[in-house]
Amino acid sequence: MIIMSFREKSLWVSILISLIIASMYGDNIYAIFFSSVEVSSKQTVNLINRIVIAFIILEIVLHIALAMDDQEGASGKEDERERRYRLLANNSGYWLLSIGLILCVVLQMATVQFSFEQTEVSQRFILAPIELKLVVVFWLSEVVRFSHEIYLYRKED
Amino acid sequence: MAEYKIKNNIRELRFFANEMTQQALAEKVGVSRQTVMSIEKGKYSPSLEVAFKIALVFDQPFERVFQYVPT
Repeated sequence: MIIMSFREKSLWVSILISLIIASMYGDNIYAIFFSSVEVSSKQTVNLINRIVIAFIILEIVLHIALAMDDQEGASGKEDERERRYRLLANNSGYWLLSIGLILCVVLQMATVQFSFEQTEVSQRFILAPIELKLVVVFWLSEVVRFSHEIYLYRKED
Repeated sequence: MAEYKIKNNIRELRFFANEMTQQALAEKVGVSRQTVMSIEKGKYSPSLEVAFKIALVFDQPFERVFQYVPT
């Protein structure tokens, strides 16, 4: 039987939420990135707002449910092992976020310097709104962070 | 240089401490039960502070609880 700390359960919940968000809005994001249809900035901002609100609501609701299920674990303090694993995982997430941010800025600069054709599939991604690219980078860095921390806990077994 | 690893006798010491539970040891040391399990299995190397606290709980010298041995 797998014995999990509250922190590990919380990580599984967070990664589950990330996957739920991806399944709910992934097709919308894909459509904006790779379709030839023009999307207004208002539509993009609406989509980002929906993603952020859904993420926050799911995090709050599922973590309240988790804390009610494991009240003792939820009230416990983080110990040195949990802190170490959290920091190691944060490092992975940070690197991915940094690289993603740099790539987004470079792509944005490229769109100013060079003219890209909206009709070319390979170039539509470059022309996609930077705010949406940043949301995807942030989501990816969160998934990497949660996965790395879960990996550190699971490799002990 | 030969490779070394940290071994411990926590399971044995718990047995001789009236079969102290992992939960009881965790509470005395101030870590979670999962952390005690990981230390006991040799999967996680604790900080010096936690290692000394474990030795103090069992009232044993440090080297009786933890050993640095060649693999």
